Amino acid sequence: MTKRTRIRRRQFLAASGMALAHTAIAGRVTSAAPAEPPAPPDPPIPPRRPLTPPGLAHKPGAAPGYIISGRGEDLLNPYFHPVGEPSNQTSGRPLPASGNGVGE
Amino acid sequence: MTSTLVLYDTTGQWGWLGELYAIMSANLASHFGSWTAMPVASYTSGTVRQYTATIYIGSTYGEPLPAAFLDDVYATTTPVIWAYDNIWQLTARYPNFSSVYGWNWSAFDFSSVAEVDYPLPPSTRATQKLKRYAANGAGIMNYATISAAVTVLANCVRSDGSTFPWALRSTGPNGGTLTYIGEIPLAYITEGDRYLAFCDLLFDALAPATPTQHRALVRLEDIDPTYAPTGLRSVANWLRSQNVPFGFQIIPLYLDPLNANGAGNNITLQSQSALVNAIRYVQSNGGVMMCHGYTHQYDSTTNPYSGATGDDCEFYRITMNADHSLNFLGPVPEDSLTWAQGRFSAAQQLYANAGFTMPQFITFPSYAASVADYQAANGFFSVATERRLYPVGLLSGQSYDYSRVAGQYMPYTVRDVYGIKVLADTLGGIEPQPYFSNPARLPADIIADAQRNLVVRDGWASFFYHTYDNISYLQQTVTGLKNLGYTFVSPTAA
Repeated sequence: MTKRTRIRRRQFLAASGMALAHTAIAGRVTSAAPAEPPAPPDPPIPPRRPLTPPGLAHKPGAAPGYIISGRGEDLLNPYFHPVGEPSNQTSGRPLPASGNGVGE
Repeated sequence: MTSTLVLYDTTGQWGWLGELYAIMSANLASHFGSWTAMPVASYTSGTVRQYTATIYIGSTYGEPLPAAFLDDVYATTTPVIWAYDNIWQLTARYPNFSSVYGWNWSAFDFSSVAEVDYPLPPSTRATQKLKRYAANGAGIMNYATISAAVTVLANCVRSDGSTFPWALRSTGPNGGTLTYIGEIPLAYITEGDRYLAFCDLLFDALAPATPTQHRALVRLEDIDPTYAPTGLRSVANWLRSQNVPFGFQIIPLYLDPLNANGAGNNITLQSQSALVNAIRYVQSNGGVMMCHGYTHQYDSTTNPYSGATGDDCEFYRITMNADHSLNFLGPVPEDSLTWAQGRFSAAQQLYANAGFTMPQFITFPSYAASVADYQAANGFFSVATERRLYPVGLLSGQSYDYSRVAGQYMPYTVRDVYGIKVLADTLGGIEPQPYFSNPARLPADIIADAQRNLVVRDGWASFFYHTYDNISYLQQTVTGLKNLGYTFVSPTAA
């Protein structure tokens, strides 16, 4: 089998496998529309940055509390975007959790 | 009372995001009633019908959705809100989806979108131009077909001015509505953000008869024992003259172990009789005292700025990078339920020594604390007025993972997953001066975001002000919010 033939065969198997999978999901396939859109990119991971040297003067005359209170379009700011890196660790499927309403 | 089913994704390298988005959705749903959150993979037939409404956050591309879930969404008799991924599994299972629901997806649109317009006619409420982080590269779903029977609820506005739907709604074969949002509205959140549109859409699903009203809260922030009592009195007098009730935060112990400010160290509230008298005056003029931590700083080190009260974080370890961005590292080394309870008990004693009862309101310094700290606060306070952090593990029952955390501000009063009543904190504070990469935040900025906040039909404009800043900033902001139609109410009425 030539390399080109092997590629064609692989493509055929992949395509037919996809079609079978979609058939299994859909139960019936009658639409010519794509089964799913191309995947979007993964969420960004904030780059690691050097720490500031000690002794940096804080903002004079004003507590910078709001600065560390979730302000800023920065991927390290959990109030802007959930912070965390991808993980291959798997754990058991979580059980349902419940909570009360504010008026209850 | 209503009940909400929150379904979330769990698979893949980013499966943990699903739990965080579920926490945020559950927090919002608690405004309306009880909630139950579970992995969508655990879904069993008929569960959707047991709740007033269902929210599914599709955060994992290709999450295998149970057929029972797809079937129940298709045939729903109750409102379903579906965000972002995996809608193609529903349309694949029901090839007649577009003829029944009147729309079908085409592909993710990766255009730069910095504006989402919401609400749209036929809503009679004014359309606002909500912010969206333009560099958000996750894509927004676009559509191949949209029939006249579909209600487009919000539009994305590309940089060239062209638009496409951000959210739409139509009715299924059994009368239930499906609201589809083309992206995750719970990431890249700022003040005045399209997150507010998601918050408002929950009213349609859970409390459609809610009348429109807009209320406002203001807090005087970071008052420690070194504060000038005259400034506090002046602010209280002006707010009283405007019939504006307000909250004010007291830190009962001032520490400056590194002598960053040269104003002394270990200064208690009761040692400052003029300030104590001013606080009594403020209370008699509509002010509601709030606890803002014990010291609003940590140990004898920078965390992350100066080590001084009012500057630093008390309950969470934070370091600063060379570009002045911050790393939220996690609980301080000695953190525990007992440690946090000890700090609140110490604060309670200092309030008592100055003649005050322990406030019922808490705002954690720097909006940062651990699960143990939040749980400890539940034993001392009945209301939190702040933004809060939520780590992975809170819903799943696994160990808390502080390397995977989301923060959230509320647009209305909720009972969050920690179990305490949390007031809205939508607008942040007035910052007259820029600070490195953070621009100044002036009254005009607060007012502009408050206008965007009007999209939440029963939402709140909530901001804070430091009494050491020029009172004109407060005056401009209060006046601006009133002109937008907001009514200031006491935190005790929120």
